Amino acid sequence: MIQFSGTGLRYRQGTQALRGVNLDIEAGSLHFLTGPSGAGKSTFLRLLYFALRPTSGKLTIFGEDTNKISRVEIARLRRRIGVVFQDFQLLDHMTVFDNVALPLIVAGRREHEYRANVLEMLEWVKLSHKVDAKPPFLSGGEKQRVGIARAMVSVPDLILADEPTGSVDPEMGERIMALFREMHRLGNTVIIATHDLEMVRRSGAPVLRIEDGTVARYGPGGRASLPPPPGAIAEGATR
Amino acid sequence: MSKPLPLPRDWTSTWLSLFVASAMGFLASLGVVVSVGADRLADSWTSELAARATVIVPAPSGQERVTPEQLAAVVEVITRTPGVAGARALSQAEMAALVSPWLGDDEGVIGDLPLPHLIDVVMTGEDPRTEARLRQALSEAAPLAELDAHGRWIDRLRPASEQVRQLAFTALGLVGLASALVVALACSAGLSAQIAVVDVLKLIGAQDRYISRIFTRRFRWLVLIGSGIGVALAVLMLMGARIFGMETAGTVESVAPLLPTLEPTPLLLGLLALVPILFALIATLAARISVRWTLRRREG
Repeated sequence: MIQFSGTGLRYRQGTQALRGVNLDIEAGSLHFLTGPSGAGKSTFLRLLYFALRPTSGKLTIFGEDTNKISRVEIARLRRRIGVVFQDFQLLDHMTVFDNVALPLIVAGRREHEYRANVLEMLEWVKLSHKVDAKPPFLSGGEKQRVGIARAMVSVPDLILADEPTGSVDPEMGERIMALFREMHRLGNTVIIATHDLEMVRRSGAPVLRIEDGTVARYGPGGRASLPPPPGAIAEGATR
Repeated sequence: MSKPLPLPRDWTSTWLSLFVASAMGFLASLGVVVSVGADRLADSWTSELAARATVIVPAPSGQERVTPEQLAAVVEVITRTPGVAGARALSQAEMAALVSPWLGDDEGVIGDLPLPHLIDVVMTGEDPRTEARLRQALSEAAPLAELDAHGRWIDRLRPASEQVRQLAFTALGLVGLASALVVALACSAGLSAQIAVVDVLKLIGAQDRYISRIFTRRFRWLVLIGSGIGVALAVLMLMGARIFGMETAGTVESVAPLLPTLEPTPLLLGLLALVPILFALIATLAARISVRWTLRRREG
Protein backbone atom coordinates (compact mmCIF):
# COMPACT_ATOMS: atom_id res chain seq x y z
CA MET A 1 0.00 0.00 0.00
CA ILE A 2 2.80 2.41 0.93
CA GLN A 3 6.29 1.94 -0.47
CA PHE A 4 9.30 4.05 0.34
CA SER A 5 12.16 3.38 -2.11
CA GLY A 6 15.31 5.26 -1.17
CA THR A 7 13.00 8.13 -0.23
CA GLY A 8 14.56 11.34 1.04
CA LEU A 9 13.28 14.78 1.89
CA ARG A 10 15.35 17.91 2.16
CA TYR A 11 13.62 21.19 3.05
CA ARG A 12 14.39 24.27 1.00
CA GLN A 13 16.43 25.77 3.80
CA GLY A 14 18.69 22.73 3.62
CA THR A 15 17.54 20.51 6.52
CA GLN A 16 17.62 16.84 5.57
CA ALA A 17 14.47 15.50 7.27
CA LEU A 18 14.51 11.99 5.79
CA ARG A 19 17.24 10.10 3.94
CA GLY A 20 17.21 6.88 1.95
CA VAL A 21 14.13 5.36 3.55
CA ASN A 22 13.21 1.89 2.29
CA LEU A 23 9.99 0.60 3.74
CA ASP A 24 6.82 -1.26 2.85
CA ILE A 25 3.65 -0.68 4.83
CA GLU A 26 1.10 -3.32 4.04
CA ALA A 27 -2.58 -2.60 3.59
CA GLY A 28 -4.57 -3.33 6.74
CA SER A 29 -1.60 -2.98 9.10
CA LEU A 30 -1.35 -0.93 12.28
CA HIS A 31 1.95 0.84 13.01
CA PHE A 32 3.16 3.20 15.66
CA LEU A 33 5.56 5.93 14.66
CA THR A 34 7.98 7.03 17.36
CA GLY A 35 11.15 9.00 17.71
CA PRO A 36 12.55 11.99 19.54
CA SER A 37 10.93 15.37 19.13
CA GLY A 38 12.01 16.96 15.85
CA ALA A 39 13.14 13.64 14.42
CA GLY A 40 10.77 13.89 11.47
CA LYS A 41 7.57 12.13 12.55
CA SER A 42 5.35 14.94 11.29
CA THR A 43 7.37 15.18 8.09
CA PHE A 44 6.90 11.44 7.60
CA LEU A 45 3.13 11.83 8.01
CA ARG A 46 3.01 14.91 5.77
CA LEU A 47 4.62 12.87 3.01
CA LEU A 48 1.86 10.31 3.44
CA TYR A 49 -0.96 12.84 3.05
CA PHE A 50 0.74 14.59 0.11
CA ALA A 51 1.47 17.85 1.89
CA LEU A 52 5.11 17.25 0.89
CA ARG A 53 6.72 15.41 -1.97
CA PRO A 54 10.02 13.50 -1.71
CA THR A 55 13.06 15.35 -2.97
CA SER A 56 14.87 12.07 -3.70
CA GLY A 57 13.90 8.45 -4.23
CA LYS A 58 10.33 7.40 -4.68
CA LEU A 59 7.18 7.13 -2.57
CA THR A 60 4.19 5.14 -3.77
CA ILE A 61 0.83 5.36 -2.03
CA PHE A 62 -2.22 3.41 -3.21
CA GLY A 63 -0.07 2.43 -6.21
CA GLU A 64 0.49 6.07 -7.22
CA ASP A 65 3.94 7.65 -7.43
CA THR A 66 3.57 10.80 -5.34
CA ASN A 67 6.03 12.68 -7.54
CA LYS A 68 3.92 12.11 -10.62
CA ILE A 69 0.35 12.66 -9.50
CA SER A 70 -1.60 15.78 -10.40
CA ARG A 71 -3.30 18.18 -8.00
CA VAL A 72 -6.67 16.75 -8.92
CA GLU A 73 -5.41 13.24 -8.15
CA ILE A 74 -4.01 14.42 -4.81
CA ALA A 75 -7.44 15.71 -3.78
CA ARG A 76 -9.02 12.41 -4.85
CA LEU A 77 -6.44 10.35 -2.92
CA ARG A 78 -6.73 12.52 0.18
CA ARG A 79 -10.36 11.46 0.46
CA ARG A 80 -9.05 7.94 1.10
CA ILE A 81 -6.92 9.22 3.97
CA GLY A 82 -8.12 10.37 7.38
CA VAL A 83 -5.67 12.57 9.25
CA VAL A 84 -5.72 13.45 12.94
CA PHE A 85 -3.63 16.60 13.23
CA GLN A 86 -1.64 17.47 16.31
CA ASP A 87 -3.02 21.02 16.12
CA PHE A 88 -6.54 19.69 15.34
CA GLN A 89 -7.11 21.84 12.21
CA LEU A 90 -10.79 22.43 12.99
CA LEU A 91 -12.91 25.18 11.46
CA ASP A 92 -13.87 27.48 14.31
CA HIS A 93 -16.95 28.92 12.61
CA MET A 94 -18.58 25.52 12.13
CA THR A 95 -20.30 23.32 14.68
CA VAL A 96 -18.80 20.09 15.97
CA PHE A 97 -21.30 18.20 13.80
CA ASP A 98 -20.28 20.06 10.63
CA ASN A 99 -16.58 19.76 11.42
CA VAL A 100 -16.91 16.01 11.71
CA ALA A 101 -19.04 15.87 8.57
CA LEU A 102 -16.60 18.02 6.58
CA PRO A 103 -14.95 15.19 4.57
CA LEU A 104 -18.40 13.96 3.58
CA ILE A 105 -19.67 17.45 2.71
CA VAL A 106 -16.61 18.04 0.54
CA ALA A 107 -17.18 14.67 -1.11
CA GLY A 108 -20.64 15.89 -2.14
CA ARG A 109 -22.71 13.72 0.23
CA ARG A 110 -26.10 14.96 1.42
CA GLU A 111 -26.84 15.50 5.08
CA HIS A 112 -29.49 12.80 5.29
CA GLU A 113 -26.89 10.32 3.98
CA TYR A 114 -24.24 11.10 6.58
CA ARG A 115 -26.17 12.36 9.59
CA ALA A 116 -26.38 8.97 11.32
CA ASN A 117 -22.68 8.23 10.67
CA VAL A 118 -21.59 11.54 12.11
CA LEU A 119 -23.75 11.16 15.21
CA GLU A 120 -22.43 7.63 15.74
CA MET A 121 -18.83 8.87 15.51
CA LEU A 122 -19.60 11.64 17.98
CA GLU A 123 -21.07 9.09 20.36
CA TRP A 124 -17.90 7.00 20.04
CA VAL A 125 -15.74 9.91 21.10
CA LYS A 126 -18.27 10.91 23.78
CA LEU A 127 -19.21 14.22 22.23
CA SER A 128 -22.90 13.63 21.57
CA HIS A 129 -23.74 16.48 23.92
CA LYS A 130 -21.53 18.91 21.98
CA VAL A 131 -23.05 18.46 18.53
CA ASP A 132 -23.89 22.14 18.13
CA ALA A 133 -20.89 23.55 19.97
CA LYS A 134 -18.14 25.36 18.13
CA PRO A 135 -14.42 24.56 18.56
CA PRO A 136 -13.45 27.75 20.41
CA PHE A 137 -15.73 26.59 23.24
CA LEU A 138 -14.18 23.10 23.50
CA SER A 139 -11.28 21.92 25.65
CA GLY A 140 -8.09 20.65 24.03
CA GLY A 141 -9.15 17.05 24.60
CA GLU A 142 -12.57 17.67 23.07
CA LYS A 143 -11.00 19.28 20.02
CA GLN A 144 -8.74 16.26 19.71
CA ARG A 145 -11.76 13.96 19.74
CA VAL A 146 -13.54 16.06 17.11
CA GLY A 147 -10.44 15.74 14.93
CA ILE A 148 -10.40 11.98 15.44
CA ALA A 149 -14.08 11.66 14.61
CA ARG A 150 -13.56 13.72 11.45
CA ALA A 151 -10.61 11.57 10.38
CA MET A 152 -12.62 8.37 10.76
CA VAL A 153 -16.13 9.35 9.68
CA SER A 154 -15.59 8.51 6.04
CA VAL A 155 -13.97 5.15 6.97
CA PRO A 156 -10.81 5.95 5.00
CA ASP A 157 -8.39 3.32 3.72
CA LEU A 158 -5.49 4.95 5.53
CA ILE A 159 -5.66 6.68 8.91
CA LEU A 160 -2.76 8.87 10.01
CA ALA A 161 -2.74 10.25 13.53
CA ASP A 162 -0.24 12.70 14.97
CA GLU A 163 -0.21 12.38 18.78
CA PRO A 164 -3.93 11.52 18.95
CA THR A 165 -3.93 10.91 22.69
CA GLY A 166 -1.67 13.80 23.62
CA SER A 167 -4.48 16.05 24.84
CA VAL A 168 -6.81 13.52 26.48
CA ASP A 169 -6.95 11.76 29.84
CA PRO A 170 -5.82 8.10 30.10
CA GLU A 171 -9.37 6.77 30.03
CA MET A 172 -10.24 8.68 26.88
CA GLY A 173 -6.82 7.71 25.46
CA GLU A 174 -7.75 4.04 25.88
CA ARG A 175 -11.12 4.67 24.26
CA ILE A 176 -9.50 6.40 21.31
CA MET A 177 -6.99 3.60 20.92
CA ALA A 178 -9.86 1.14 20.93
CA LEU A 179 -11.34 3.13 18.07
CA PHE A 180 -8.10 2.91 16.10
CA ARG A 181 -7.92 -0.83 16.76
CA GLU A 182 -11.50 -1.17 15.58
CA MET A 183 -10.65 0.66 12.34
CA HIS A 184 -7.65 -1.63 11.95
CA ARG A 185 -9.83 -4.67 12.60
CA LEU A 186 -12.12 -3.48 9.81
CA GLY A 187 -9.15 -3.67 7.44
CA ASN A 188 -8.00 -0.06 7.41
CA THR A 189 -4.32 0.85 7.52
CA VAL A 190 -3.45 2.89 10.61
CA ILE A 191 -0.26 4.80 11.43
CA ILE A 192 -0.12 6.57 14.79
CA ALA A 193 2.69 8.95 15.71
CA THR A 194 3.17 9.05 19.48
CA HIS A 195 5.58 9.63 22.32
CA ASP A 196 3.60 7.31 24.60
CA LEU A 197 5.89 4.26 24.57
CA GLU A 198 3.91 2.54 27.31
CA MET A 199 0.86 2.56 25.05
CA VAL A 200 3.01 1.29 22.19
CA ARG A 201 4.33 -1.61 24.27
CA ARG A 202 0.86 -2.57 25.44
CA SER A 203 -0.46 -2.69 21.87
CA GLY A 204 2.18 -5.10 20.57
CA ALA A 205 1.90 -3.51 17.14
CA PRO A 206 5.00 -2.91 14.97
CA VAL A 207 6.86 0.33 15.52
CA LEU A 208 8.47 2.65 13.01
CA ARG A 209 11.20 4.58 14.75
CA ILE A 210 12.54 7.72 13.15
CA GLU A 211 15.87 9.12 14.15
CA ASP A 212 18.43 11.18 12.26
CA GLY A 213 16.29 11.01 9.14
CA THR A 214 16.25 7.21 8.97
CA VAL A 215 13.35 4.88 9.73
CA ALA A 216 13.66 1.48 11.39
CA ARG A 217 10.88 -1.01 11.98
CA TYR A 218 10.63 -2.90 15.27
CA GLY A 219 8.25 -5.47 16.55
CA PRO A 220 6.39 -8.03 14.42
CA GLY A 221 8.03 -8.02 10.97
CA GLY A 222 10.84 -5.76 12.23
CA ARG A 223 14.25 -6.23 13.79
CA ALA A 224 13.15 -6.56 17.42
CA SER A 225 10.13 -7.76 19.29
CA LEU A 226 9.71 -4.65 21.37
CA PRO A 227 9.99 -0.95 20.67
CA PRO A 228 13.39 0.44 21.56
CA PRO A 229 13.98 2.41 24.71
CA PRO A 230 13.91 6.18 24.43
CA GLY A 231 17.08 7.49 22.83
CA ALA A 232 17.90 4.29 20.99
CA ILE A 233 19.36 5.02 17.57
CA ALA A 234 18.24 2.95 14.63
CA GLU A 235 21.08 1.93 12.40
CA GLY A 236 19.09 1.79 9.23
CA ALA A 237 15.82 1.10 7.64
CA THR A 238 14.40 -2.39 7.36
CA ARG A 239 11.84 -3.73 4.95
CA MET B 1 -25.85 18.60 -4.18
CA SER B 2 -24.42 18.80 -0.68
CA LYS B 3 -25.17 21.80 1.46
CA PRO B 4 -23.04 24.87 0.70
CA LEU B 5 -20.11 25.24 3.04
CA PRO B 6 -20.30 28.48 5.02
CA LEU B 7 -17.26 30.70 5.38
CA PRO B 8 -16.34 32.41 8.66
CA ARG B 9 -17.81 35.86 9.18
CA ASP B 10 -14.96 38.17 8.37
CA TRP B 11 -16.32 41.66 8.82
CA THR B 12 -13.13 43.38 7.64
CA SER B 13 -13.07 41.75 4.24
CA THR B 14 -16.87 41.86 3.97
CA TRP B 15 -17.04 45.60 4.58
CA LEU B 16 -13.93 46.21 2.51
CA SER B 17 -15.40 44.35 -0.45
CA LEU B 18 -18.77 46.06 -0.07
CA PHE B 19 -17.22 49.51 0.24
CA VAL B 20 -14.81 49.03 -2.67
CA ALA B 21 -17.56 47.61 -4.89
CA SER B 22 -19.90 50.49 -3.94
CA ALA B 23 -17.26 53.13 -4.65
CA MET B 24 -16.22 51.59 -7.94
CA GLY B 25 -19.85 51.01 -8.94
CA PHE B 26 -20.55 54.68 -8.23
CA LEU B 27 -17.53 55.82 -10.25
CA ALA B 28 -18.32 53.47 -13.13
CA SER B 29 -21.91 54.77 -13.14
CA LEU B 30 -20.67 58.34 -13.33
CA GLY B 31 -18.37 57.22 -16.15
CA VAL B 32 -21.37 55.78 -17.99
CA VAL B 33 -23.43 58.94 -17.41
CA VAL B 34 -20.62 61.22 -18.61
CA SER B 35 -19.86 59.00 -21.62
CA VAL B 36 -23.47 58.79 -22.71
CA GLY B 37 -23.84 62.54 -22.08
CA ALA B 38 -20.72 63.29 -24.12
CA ASP B 39 -21.96 61.05 -26.89
CA ARG B 40 -25.29 62.87 -26.96
CA LEU B 41 -23.48 66.19 -26.76
CA ALA B 42 -21.29 65.35 -29.74
CA ASP B 43 -24.40 64.37 -31.68
CA SER B 44 -26.31 67.48 -30.65
CA TRP B 45 -23.48 69.80 -31.65
CA THR B 46 -23.50 68.71 -35.25
CA SER B 47 -27.22 67.98 -35.56
CA GLU B 48 -28.19 71.37 -34.06
CA LEU B 49 -25.91 73.16 -36.48
CA ALA B 50 -26.79 71.00 -39.46
CA ALA B 51 -30.51 71.54 -38.91
CA ARG B 52 -30.21 75.31 -38.72
CA ALA B 53 -29.10 78.07 -41.05
CA THR B 54 -28.83 81.82 -40.96
CA VAL B 55 -29.89 84.13 -43.75
CA ILE B 56 -28.15 87.50 -43.79
CA VAL B 57 -30.22 90.21 -45.47
CA PRO B 58 -28.31 93.43 -46.24
CA ALA B 59 -30.09 96.62 -47.26
CA PRO B 60 -30.68 96.83 -51.02
CA SER B 61 -28.53 99.37 -52.86
CA GLY B 62 -29.93 102.83 -52.58
CA GLN B 63 -31.65 102.02 -49.32
CA GLU B 64 -30.21 102.59 -45.85
CA ARG B 65 -32.23 99.84 -44.24
CA VAL B 66 -34.31 96.80 -45.11
CA THR B 67 -37.95 97.63 -44.69
CA PRO B 68 -40.12 95.35 -42.53
CA GLU B 69 -42.12 94.46 -45.63
CA GLN B 70 -39.01 93.38 -47.52
CA LEU B 71 -37.83 91.32 -44.55
CA ALA B 72 -41.25 89.69 -44.19
CA ALA B 73 -41.20 88.83 -47.90
CA VAL B 74 -37.82 87.08 -47.54
CA VAL B 75 -39.06 85.19 -44.45
CA GLU B 76 -42.12 84.15 -46.43
CA VAL B 77 -39.96 82.86 -49.31
CA ILE B 78 -37.79 80.90 -46.88
CA THR B 79 -40.75 79.44 -44.99
CA ARG B 80 -42.33 78.18 -48.21
CA THR B 81 -39.17 76.34 -49.25
CA PRO B 82 -39.55 72.55 -48.90
CA GLY B 83 -37.50 71.16 -46.01
CA VAL B 84 -37.78 74.32 -43.93
CA ALA B 85 -39.62 73.93 -40.62
CA GLY B 86 -39.67 77.61 -39.79
CA ALA B 87 -37.93 80.94 -40.15
CA ARG B 88 -37.87 83.97 -37.94
CA ALA B 89 -36.25 87.37 -38.30
CA LEU B 90 -34.22 88.34 -35.26
CA SER B 91 -35.65 91.32 -33.40
CA GLN B 92 -33.73 94.55 -32.83
CA ALA B 93 -33.12 93.50 -29.22
CA GLU B 94 -31.71 90.11 -30.28
CA MET B 95 -29.45 91.81 -32.80
CA ALA B 96 -28.27 94.20 -30.11
CA ALA B 97 -27.55 91.25 -27.81
CA LEU B 98 -25.45 89.60 -30.50
CA VAL B 99 -23.18 92.62 -31.01
CA SER B 100 -23.24 93.89 -27.46
CA PRO B 101 -19.94 92.16 -26.52
CA TRP B 102 -18.18 94.44 -29.02
CA LEU B 103 -20.38 97.57 -29.09
CA GLY B 104 -21.91 97.70 -25.64
CA ASP B 105 -25.56 97.71 -24.63
CA ASP B 106 -26.58 101.08 -26.02
CA GLU B 107 -29.46 100.24 -28.40
CA GLY B 108 -29.37 103.80 -29.78
CA VAL B 109 -25.80 103.32 -31.05
CA ILE B 110 -26.62 99.91 -32.50
CA GLY B 111 -29.82 101.25 -34.08
CA ASP B 112 -27.80 103.85 -35.99
CA LEU B 113 -25.47 101.27 -37.55
CA PRO B 114 -26.31 99.78 -40.97
CA LEU B 115 -26.38 96.23 -39.69
CA PRO B 116 -27.80 93.50 -41.97
CA HIS B 117 -30.89 91.68 -40.74
CA LEU B 118 -30.59 88.05 -39.70
CA ILE B 119 -33.17 85.34 -40.23
CA ASP B 120 -32.89 82.16 -38.17
CA VAL B 121 -33.93 79.18 -40.27
CA VAL B 122 -34.87 75.82 -38.76
CA MET B 123 -34.89 72.89 -41.16
CA THR B 124 -36.82 69.67 -40.81
CA GLY B 125 -33.67 67.50 -41.05
CA GLU B 126 -30.21 67.17 -42.49
CA ASP B 127 -31.34 67.00 -46.11
CA PRO B 128 -28.61 68.59 -48.27
CA ARG B 129 -31.24 69.38 -50.92
CA THR B 130 -32.88 71.88 -48.56
CA GLU B 131 -29.80 74.09 -48.64
CA ALA B 132 -29.76 74.03 -52.47
CA ARG B 133 -33.48 74.85 -52.60
CA LEU B 134 -32.99 77.73 -50.18
CA ARG B 135 -30.14 79.18 -52.23
CA GLN B 136 -32.29 78.92 -55.36
CA ALA B 137 -35.29 80.56 -53.68
CA LEU B 138 -33.18 83.36 -52.20
CA SER B 139 -31.34 84.06 -55.47
CA GLU B 140 -34.73 84.69 -57.09
CA ALA B 141 -36.47 86.61 -54.26
CA ALA B 142 -33.56 88.44 -52.59
CA PRO B 143 -30.35 88.23 -54.62
CA LEU B 144 -28.36 90.14 -52.03
CA ALA B 145 -29.28 87.78 -49.20
CA GLU B 146 -26.58 85.34 -48.10
CA LEU B 147 -27.21 81.87 -46.74
CA ASP B 148 -24.89 80.66 -43.99
CA ALA B 149 -25.54 76.91 -43.61
CA HIS B 150 -22.89 76.61 -40.86
CA GLY B 151 -20.90 74.22 -43.06
CA ARG B 152 -17.52 75.48 -41.92
CA TRP B 153 -18.57 75.12 -38.24
CA ILE B 154 -19.86 71.66 -38.83
CA ASP B 155 -16.62 70.70 -40.57
CA ARG B 156 -14.70 71.87 -37.50
CA LEU B 157 -17.10 70.44 -34.94
CA ARG B 158 -17.35 66.95 -36.40
CA PRO B 159 -13.73 65.94 -35.58
CA ALA B 160 -13.96 67.77 -32.25
CA SER B 161 -17.15 65.96 -31.28
CA GLU B 162 -15.61 62.66 -32.36
CA GLN B 163 -12.64 63.39 -30.09
CA VAL B 164 -14.96 64.18 -27.18
CA ARG B 165 -16.76 60.90 -27.78
CA GLN B 166 -13.50 58.91 -27.94
CA LEU B 167 -12.18 60.65 -24.84
CA ALA B 168 -15.35 59.84 -22.90
CA PHE B 169 -15.29 56.17 -23.85
CA THR B 170 -11.56 55.89 -23.14
CA ALA B 171 -12.21 57.35 -19.68
CA LEU B 172 -15.06 54.86 -19.19
CA GLY B 173 -12.77 52.01 -20.25
CA LEU B 174 -10.11 53.14 -17.76
CA VAL B 175 -12.67 53.40 -14.94
CA GLY B 176 -13.85 49.89 -15.85
CA LEU B 177 -10.30 48.51 -15.85
CA ALA B 178 -9.44 50.22 -12.56
CA SER B 179 -12.67 48.88 -11.07
CA ALA B 180 -11.82 45.36 -12.19
CA LEU B 181 -8.35 45.57 -10.61
CA VAL B 182 -9.60 47.04 -7.35
CA VAL B 183 -12.36 44.44 -7.07
CA ALA B 184 -9.79 41.72 -7.82
CA LEU B 185 -7.51 43.06 -5.08
CA ALA B 186 -10.40 43.16 -2.60
CA CYS B 187 -11.23 39.54 -3.44
CA SER B 188 -7.60 38.57 -3.01
CA ALA B 189 -7.43 40.33 0.38
CA GLY B 190 -10.63 38.57 1.44
CA LEU B 191 -9.18 35.24 0.45
CA SER B 192 -5.99 35.86 2.42
CA ALA B 193 -8.15 36.39 5.51
CA GLN B 194 -9.69 32.94 5.01
CA ILE B 195 -6.52 31.05 4.22
CA ALA B 196 -6.85 28.74 7.27
CA VAL B 197 -10.14 27.47 5.88
CA VAL B 198 -8.54 26.88 2.49
CA ASP B 199 -5.77 24.82 4.10
CA VAL B 200 -8.17 22.61 6.05
CA LEU B 201 -10.35 22.03 3.01
CA LYS B 202 -7.32 21.04 0.96
CA LEU B 203 -6.13 18.61 3.62
CA ILE B 204 -9.43 16.78 3.73
CA GLY B 205 -9.51 16.34 -0.03
CA ALA B 206 -11.41 19.31 -1.46
CA GLN B 207 -10.74 19.92 -5.13
CA ASP B 208 -9.52 23.34 -6.23
CA ARG B 209 -12.77 23.99 -8.05
CA TYR B 210 -14.81 23.19 -4.91
CA ILE B 211 -12.84 25.72 -2.86
CA SER B 212 -12.98 28.19 -5.73
CA ARG B 213 -16.77 27.84 -5.90
CA ILE B 214 -17.19 28.69 -2.20
CA PHE B 215 -15.13 31.85 -2.49
CA THR B 216 -16.43 33.01 -5.87
CA ARG B 217 -20.02 32.67 -4.61
CA ARG B 218 -19.23 34.83 -1.61
CA PHE B 219 -17.43 37.57 -3.53
CA ARG B 220 -19.91 37.54 -6.40
CA TRP B 221 -22.72 38.39 -3.97
CA LEU B 222 -20.70 40.95 -2.04
CA VAL B 223 -19.67 42.77 -5.22
CA LEU B 224 -23.14 42.51 -6.75
CA ILE B 225 -24.70 44.09 -3.66
CA GLY B 226 -21.91 46.66 -3.23
CA SER B 227 -21.86 47.81 -6.84
CA GLY B 228 -25.68 47.85 -6.85
CA ILE B 229 -25.54 50.30 -3.92
CA GLY B 230 -22.98 52.40 -5.85
CA VAL B 231 -25.18 52.51 -8.94
CA ALA B 232 -28.25 53.37 -6.86
CA LEU B 233 -26.34 56.26 -5.28
CA ALA B 234 -25.27 57.50 -8.71
CA VAL B 235 -28.88 57.33 -9.99
CA LEU B 236 -30.08 59.20 -6.90
CA MET B 237 -27.45 61.84 -7.50
CA LEU B 238 -28.50 62.08 -11.15
CA MET B 239 -32.14 62.52 -10.14
CA GLY B 240 -31.15 65.02 -7.45
CA ALA B 241 -29.20 67.01 -10.01
CA ARG B 242 -32.30 67.23 -12.18
CA ILE B 243 -34.64 68.04 -9.31
CA PHE B 244 -32.41 70.70 -7.81
CA GLY B 245 -31.60 72.29 -11.15
CA MET B 246 -27.94 71.35 -11.19
CA GLU B 247 -28.40 70.09 -14.72
CA THR B 248 -26.77 72.84 -16.69
CA ALA B 249 -28.54 72.17 -19.98
CA GLY B 250 -31.67 74.26 -19.99
CA THR B 251 -30.47 76.91 -17.57
CA VAL B 252 -29.37 79.07 -20.48
CA GLU B 253 -31.47 78.22 -23.47
CA SER B 254 -29.08 79.58 -26.03
CA VAL B 255 -26.20 77.34 -24.95
CA ALA B 256 -28.28 74.25 -24.19
CA PRO B 257 -27.08 72.36 -27.26
CA LEU B 258 -23.47 72.91 -26.16
CA LEU B 259 -23.90 71.23 -22.76
CA PRO B 260 -24.40 67.55 -21.88
CA THR B 261 -27.84 66.37 -20.77
CA LEU B 262 -28.37 64.20 -17.67
CA GLU B 263 -31.72 62.89 -18.80
CA PRO B 264 -32.21 59.29 -17.48
CA THR B 265 -33.23 57.68 -20.73
CA PRO B 266 -33.98 53.94 -20.97
CA LEU B 267 -30.59 53.47 -22.70
CA LEU B 268 -28.75 55.16 -19.84
CA LEU B 269 -30.69 53.27 -17.16
CA GLY B 270 -30.12 50.01 -19.04
CA LEU B 271 -26.38 50.66 -19.16
CA LEU B 272 -26.36 51.51 -15.45
CA ALA B 273 -28.21 48.28 -14.67
CA LEU B 274 -25.43 46.41 -16.45
CA VAL B 275 -22.75 47.84 -14.12
CA PRO B 276 -23.45 45.53 -11.11
CA ILE B 277 -23.80 42.53 -13.40
CA LEU B 278 -20.47 43.28 -15.04
CA PHE B 279 -18.87 43.84 -11.65
CA ALA B 280 -20.24 40.52 -10.38
CA LEU B 281 -18.74 38.80 -13.42
CA ILE B 282 -15.41 40.52 -12.80
CA ALA B 283 -15.52 39.48 -9.12
CA THR B 284 -16.28 35.89 -10.09
CA LEU B 285 -13.34 35.81 -12.45
CA ALA B 286 -11.02 37.64 -10.04
CA ALA B 287 -11.94 35.38 -7.11
CA ARG B 288 -11.50 32.27 -9.24
CA ILE B 289 -8.06 33.36 -10.42
CA SER B 290 -7.06 34.43 -6.88
CA VAL B 291 -8.12 31.11 -5.34
CA ARG B 292 -6.42 28.98 -8.00
CA TRP B 293 -3.27 31.08 -7.80
CA THR B 294 -3.23 30.97 -3.98
CA LEU B 295 -3.77 27.20 -3.93
CA ARG B 296 -0.97 26.60 -6.40
CA ARG B 297 1.38 28.92 -4.53
CA ARG B 298 0.66 27.25 -1.16
CA GLU B 299 1.21 23.75 -2.45
CA GLY B 300 4.34 24.70 -4.35
